[in-house]
Amino acid sequence: MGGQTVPAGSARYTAVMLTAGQQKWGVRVFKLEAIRYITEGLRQAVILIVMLDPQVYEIVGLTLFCSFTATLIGTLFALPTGFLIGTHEFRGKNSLVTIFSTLMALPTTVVGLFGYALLSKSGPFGFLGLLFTPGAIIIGETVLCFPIIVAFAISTTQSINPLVRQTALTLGASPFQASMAVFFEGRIGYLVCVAAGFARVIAEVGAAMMLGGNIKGHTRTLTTAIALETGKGEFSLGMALGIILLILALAVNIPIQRLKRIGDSS
Amino acid sequence: MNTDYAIQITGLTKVYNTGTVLNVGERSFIRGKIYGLVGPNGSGKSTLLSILAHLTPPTAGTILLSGTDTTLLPSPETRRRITLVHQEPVMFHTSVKKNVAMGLIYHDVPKQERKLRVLEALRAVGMEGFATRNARTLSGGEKKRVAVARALAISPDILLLDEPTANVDGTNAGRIEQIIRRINETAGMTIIFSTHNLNQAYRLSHEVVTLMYGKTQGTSLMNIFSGVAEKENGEPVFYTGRARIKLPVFEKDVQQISVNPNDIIISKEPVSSSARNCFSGQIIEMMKDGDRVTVTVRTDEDFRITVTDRSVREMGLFIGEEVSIAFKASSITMYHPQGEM
Repeated sequence: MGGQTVPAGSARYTAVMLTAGQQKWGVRVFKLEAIRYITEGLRQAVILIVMLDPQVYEIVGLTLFCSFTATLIGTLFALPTGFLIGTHEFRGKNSLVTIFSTLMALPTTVVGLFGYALLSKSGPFGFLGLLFTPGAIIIGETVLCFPIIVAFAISTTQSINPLVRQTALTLGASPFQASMAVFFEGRIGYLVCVAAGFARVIAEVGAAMMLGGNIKGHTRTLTTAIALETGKGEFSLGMALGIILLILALAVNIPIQRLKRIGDSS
Repeated sequence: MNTDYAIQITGLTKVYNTGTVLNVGERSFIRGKIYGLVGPNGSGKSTLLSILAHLTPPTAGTILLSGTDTTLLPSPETRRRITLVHQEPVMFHTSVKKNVAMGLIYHDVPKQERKLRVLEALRAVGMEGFATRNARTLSGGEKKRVAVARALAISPDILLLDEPTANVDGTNAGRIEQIIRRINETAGMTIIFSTHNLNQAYRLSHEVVTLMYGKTQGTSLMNIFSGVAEKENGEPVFYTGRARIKLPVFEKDVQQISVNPNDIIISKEPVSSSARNCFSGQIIEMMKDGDRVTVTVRTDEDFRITVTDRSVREMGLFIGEEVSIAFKASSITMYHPQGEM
């Protein structure tokens, strides 16, 4: 390599100065390396999926289990909350909506931190022994998806024509039946809310890492595994897991977006 | 308690933050009659209908349905007896027949009976061929007819229609008028509908109720115009956007005026009189009610003139004829936002 010794103030150090041609060549090498990672990642992803790699399937299984469970629990509480806030007028409503909108950007590591403090042995819920278990991951992810689903559900509910409720009432519906009529009208919108919540939890790493501990065969999820493999320099395996994660996210979101389009067009 | 009355209202008021939008002292609606509710925008027509449908609670006052006070009992059973079809009816996100069946589902009507009643209601509005269509894909007029069918399916005692022919094409508007007449004749249903179309109100209803600034007027106002008062060459005029009507005095905040139909002179020749308002136009409608005939003349605005049957015969008036009309500025009643002057 064509290197030179360059004086810099009183100190002397050796720096490798590359010629323009060498720099250009270096960039090309880097680009080729990156492409190799991606293609290798894709190849490995296909092999891991097709060969039914038990370790990968275990990680995927746990990821799906934690994400679905957290989304389900979050939805059970968040949709009615968002619906009630959206359909009722009360003092402090705007502040509440602002709080939920802000919490949509809740950092996953903050949730992990608070969760850790609460679930650790010296914390108030330490006696439950949940820290570094899938249960702890589910709790953290539920906390993460709850404000997202609430905020989107409020917005969806408020976008429904208020005459839907009035029409149901004038046709003799009970208040509960009228509320159900409104909910039914927004069904596709609510599905999108749930999808947004799911997308948030399946892709998060902070809470899963801090509350689950990334224990192999026990609490390792796709995102924590990706972080670990990348840390170890196993970019290809990290890439493969990343591609699987993307496929999962797409598999959930594509049908929902299609439904949304159908709903919007009718 | 008088059971001849479908609805009796007493001291009904509705106050919002912006002010009082409705203040109806006493008003009764006789069973089996059609009532046309007219008045300019913001006069309280929709608010009154919504309160009568027990969808909006009044600030004060009572509503008696067939003699029973239901003001504080907006139960599903009460609402089933008095159903409102909104100006822009909402179609549930499903088929036409399921939309019409919705009220019946709420009332636990058995499936077989439900099917028959849905078909019957759709047939009544001429929409039986649309039963399986997605209700959201219908035109505005078709949606209104389905909304009427949806209301008819639950067989209410009183049907409230908020501007049933607004934003509807002529063909559908005509059909809706026919439907209103037919269901009143066949089912004896009490119908109250609001409209901006005075001709329609008089054509369809047994009685026209005029609302101005939330208050019902003692007499039916036939010629109501909205606009602004201004001065033209120092003369007070009321500009409706289409016509300039000379006023007796200038009152800046006048937003509505009415012209007594008995005070308008109609002539086949140009009118030569002291009347300050003279217009020429064409007769577009003639309606006979006993020995009186209401003639509608289309000038820049439509004017309704009440004349005797004998006068019509002697003058040889007919639809399509060019005529002149005249009335004195003193025949005009001016309305201010705070109340009648």
